[in-house]
Amino acid sequence: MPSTSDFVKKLYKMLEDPLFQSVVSWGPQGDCFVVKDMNEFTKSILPRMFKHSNFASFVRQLNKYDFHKVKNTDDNQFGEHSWTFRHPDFHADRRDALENIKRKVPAQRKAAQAAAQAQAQAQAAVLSALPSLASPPSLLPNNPVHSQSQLQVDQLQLEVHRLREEGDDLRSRIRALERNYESVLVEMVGFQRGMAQQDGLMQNLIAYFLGSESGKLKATNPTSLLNPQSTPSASILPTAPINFPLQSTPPKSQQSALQTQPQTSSPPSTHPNPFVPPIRFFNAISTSGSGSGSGSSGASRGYEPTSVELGRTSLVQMSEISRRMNGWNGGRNPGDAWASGDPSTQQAQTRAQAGPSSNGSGSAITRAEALAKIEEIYRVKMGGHANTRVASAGVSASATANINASASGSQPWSALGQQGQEDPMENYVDGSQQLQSQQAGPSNSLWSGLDLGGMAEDPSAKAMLHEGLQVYTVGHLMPRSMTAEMNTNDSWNFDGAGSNVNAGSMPSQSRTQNQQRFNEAGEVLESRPGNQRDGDTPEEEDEEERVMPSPMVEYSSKPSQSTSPSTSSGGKPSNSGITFPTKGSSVSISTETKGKGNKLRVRRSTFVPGWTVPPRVLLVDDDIVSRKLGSKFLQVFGCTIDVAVDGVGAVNKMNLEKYDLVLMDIVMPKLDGITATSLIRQFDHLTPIISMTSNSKPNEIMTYYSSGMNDILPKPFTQSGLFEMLEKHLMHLKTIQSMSKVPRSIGIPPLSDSQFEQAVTAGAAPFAARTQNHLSSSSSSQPSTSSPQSNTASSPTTAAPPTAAPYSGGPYGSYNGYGDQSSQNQGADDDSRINPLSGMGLTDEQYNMILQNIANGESFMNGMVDSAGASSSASASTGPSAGPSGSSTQPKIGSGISNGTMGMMGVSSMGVGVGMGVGMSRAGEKRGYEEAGLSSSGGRDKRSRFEVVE
Amino acid sequence: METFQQIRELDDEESDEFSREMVYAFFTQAEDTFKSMDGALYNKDLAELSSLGHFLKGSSAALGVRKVQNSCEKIQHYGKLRDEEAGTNLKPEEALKSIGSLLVQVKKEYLAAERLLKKLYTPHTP
Repeated sequence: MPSTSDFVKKLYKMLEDPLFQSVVSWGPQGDCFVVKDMNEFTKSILPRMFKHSNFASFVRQLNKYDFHKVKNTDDNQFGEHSWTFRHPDFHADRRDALENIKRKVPAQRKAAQAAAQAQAQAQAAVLSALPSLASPPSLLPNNPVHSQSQLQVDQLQLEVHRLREEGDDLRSRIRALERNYESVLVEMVGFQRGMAQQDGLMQNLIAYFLGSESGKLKATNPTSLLNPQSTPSASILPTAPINFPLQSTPPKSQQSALQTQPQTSSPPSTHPNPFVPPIRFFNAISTSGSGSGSGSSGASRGYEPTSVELGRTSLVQMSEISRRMNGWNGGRNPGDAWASGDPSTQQAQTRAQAGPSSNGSGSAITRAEALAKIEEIYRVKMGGHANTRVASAGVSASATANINASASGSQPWSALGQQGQEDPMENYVDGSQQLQSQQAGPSNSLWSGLDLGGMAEDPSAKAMLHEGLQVYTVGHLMPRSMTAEMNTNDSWNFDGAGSNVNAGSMPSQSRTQNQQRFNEAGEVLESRPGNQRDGDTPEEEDEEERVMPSPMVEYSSKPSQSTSPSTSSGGKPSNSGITFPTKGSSVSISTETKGKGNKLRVRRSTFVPGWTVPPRVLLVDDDIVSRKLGSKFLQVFGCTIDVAVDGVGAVNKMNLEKYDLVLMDIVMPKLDGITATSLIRQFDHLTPIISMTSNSKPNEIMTYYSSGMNDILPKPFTQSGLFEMLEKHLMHLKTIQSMSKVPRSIGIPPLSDSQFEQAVTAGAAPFAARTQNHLSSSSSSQPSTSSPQSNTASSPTTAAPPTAAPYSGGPYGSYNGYGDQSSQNQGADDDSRINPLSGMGLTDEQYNMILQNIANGESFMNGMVDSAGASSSASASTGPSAGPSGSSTQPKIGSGISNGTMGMMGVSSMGVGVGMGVGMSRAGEKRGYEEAGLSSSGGRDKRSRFEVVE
Repeated sequence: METFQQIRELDDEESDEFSREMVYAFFTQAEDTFKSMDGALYNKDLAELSSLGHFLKGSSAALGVRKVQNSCEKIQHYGKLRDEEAGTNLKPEEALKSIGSLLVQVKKEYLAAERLLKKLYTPHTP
């Protein structure tokens, strides 16, 4: 074979290429060549010259051609990571010698085998020959023997040579592996960091929504405040009720409340610790704020500004409320001679004041607020009409109802939110009822009816709560959309269309993100009112738009629910009609919708993976059909989608935004997917990039992977294929499916609610009866009635925490966890954070799973798995210590570990962020090991492994 | 048709807006591509023809228009001077000739598909 082999030719060509000089070049003497930067060589040159990107195999091939690695000397001019190869016939200036370089494998192997076979005999022969060799004189006579032994010596030398070569090869491969391992570790760390960041963001989002929720609650407070105030002052009874409903129509009312009573609108900012929402929020808020300013139609807009204001102003306004209440107390109570009423109101005040001052339990605050609200209404009523004092009985009864609701509702924070919603709602009811009654004059039957109505709300409220719980398990922010769905007529659509269901579910899930990302878009905001009115539109709108309506629809839900009792009891259709002109029919929806909610949930869980946060997916494709199809699929899967039409766009978008996943077409104009991926990988090593391609031949796939892609999704892709990809690469975002089971079992025993219900009804019924009696009897008896009322009204409140505590044992135990563990979790002192806790209990478990997965998958942190498992379960157990899973795992955790991690866990689970909890806990774990020097095998294992790496 | 069925299932219950939009987008895109292909054929730009073939292959595959897809794949390969079926390499002239005839064929196939699809969508038009 006179011709030079391809490999050698390529090698020579490569070395001649000036482009590669910086990476690979001839040695100084031209008798060897040097790979100066192995990584760069592997990444850019190998694929181009040798169609692969495996340095080890390159080295192997070199070895096959009898190239030898030259050991690095200490004074190596190319750095210690350079590789030098030499072949006797491979010279920069001796092209003709190249053909002497041959692939040695086949001959070599035979020789080797022969050598191996001959070895035994040869050895003996050589040994025997040695003496003869040693004696020069006898060399000639022993000639045959000598030649034989010479041959064997040659063979042996060959063998030794080969072995050495193999050793080199192995060493180089080990080095490559080490390097890989190192980079994997780095990636892992980066991944963790990313997770932590993401979780931080999550937490912010959650906090934000919590804020907005309680903002709603408070925003409605003002309304109720406002209306009562206006009632006495205006003293035009007929108009007052009408005004009230109008104003209280959630969307508008909020705004009107805001506009008319800026100072009252500010109280919403109860959040002691204004979370730090991403700047985007503020943007969004500002847009929405302007929208709200522009007109009363911006129901949803009104909502958002409220929450903004919420975030900014805080305790001050709470105290303002309480001050105002004081003023009222001073002014009204004496005038009304409602002596017994004072204590209760003062209680409320103190409670309300205590809330802010304690700077603590959000549930306490909400409860206090609810109470305060109730009391206010109540007082107002008193002020307005002495006759209607009886109404106060009803109010207080409903107050108990509220409180109960809040008590039971406090278990999951979503319930809190719901409760928050319901409180105002009930207040509305009360207010409107009372107003109505004022109009109608105080008739006993009416009041009893109202009371009943108030009571009747409890079950419905609880139904809501239940749903809220269920929904919560499906997705954190579900409740709103659920209510929205339930209460607007749109909800019917969901039943019919499966895809609608998906679509509907997405918004709610993706709301966080959507708001985060899409709020900026003013159009979205503007489109909301329209959606709300049109009923059907929300579902058909784009995801982002759909998302937005839900909050405000939610608002509408409140009134609509509240209408049902009021209309039934008070029989004032006119009022209700006026109140909810836009919403129309939704009188008795609350109960019916439950079923729907369930159905909806079921369907969704079959269709859509429960993302904690909707994954942000960047879809890069120049083909509009694929783009549309892909977007649709992704939309169905609950992802938020961004698209780019070519590689340039993709790189730019990756630069600007953070995505959870990139789906990248390969063949595109301007910049193809492979190049784009390589570019992206220069600044983003983590985001999974999946190539979508119809070219899936093995060598092409190699190229894809070597450009930094994580996976291949063959085109044309199918729904299931895409879904699998999502599941595979977005595991960390997928929490709820598993969550929904865990918390349910742990969660809230149905007993609790029924008990509560019983308690409420039991407590409330006598009041109603009594109030009626008293009303009919004389005014002097009123104080007495009121005092029991107030007692009972307050008793549930006080009793609520303990009662609620057992129920809230699960990961949900936000309220409980807060109260019990506040000492542990110093970082988590505000109500905005409480809520995340409950979320965190869940996500912790999920993260635990993920961690284990990761650890198992990488199989380099067996010790870590244990510790991570322990820690995350610990975190789950820390928050809600009553959780079965938590308690079961606790024993396993060594006390040292738990101590070490508890602090971290507490902080992380309470305050820091959802998955961050785990991230932190892991960190805590590590630290724990290192600081405390725990001698658990896991710790050691892990350590030693790390040491190997380093 | 299976693929397309899947797409149809993505439609909302009441409206076929999504799939319709997509199909019509496909029409526009495919026609544009054909124009480009004609141009590339005229310029004897085989590489361009190949990539256009690939492009149209992708979108027709996404919709499940199999015939167009297959023809486009052939164009793609011919553009690379490769006859996958025969497993032989082609000379540029041969390739251009094959693509020319294929282009006529694929246009026919496409028109058939377009007719079919349009028929599917017109009755639903509100």
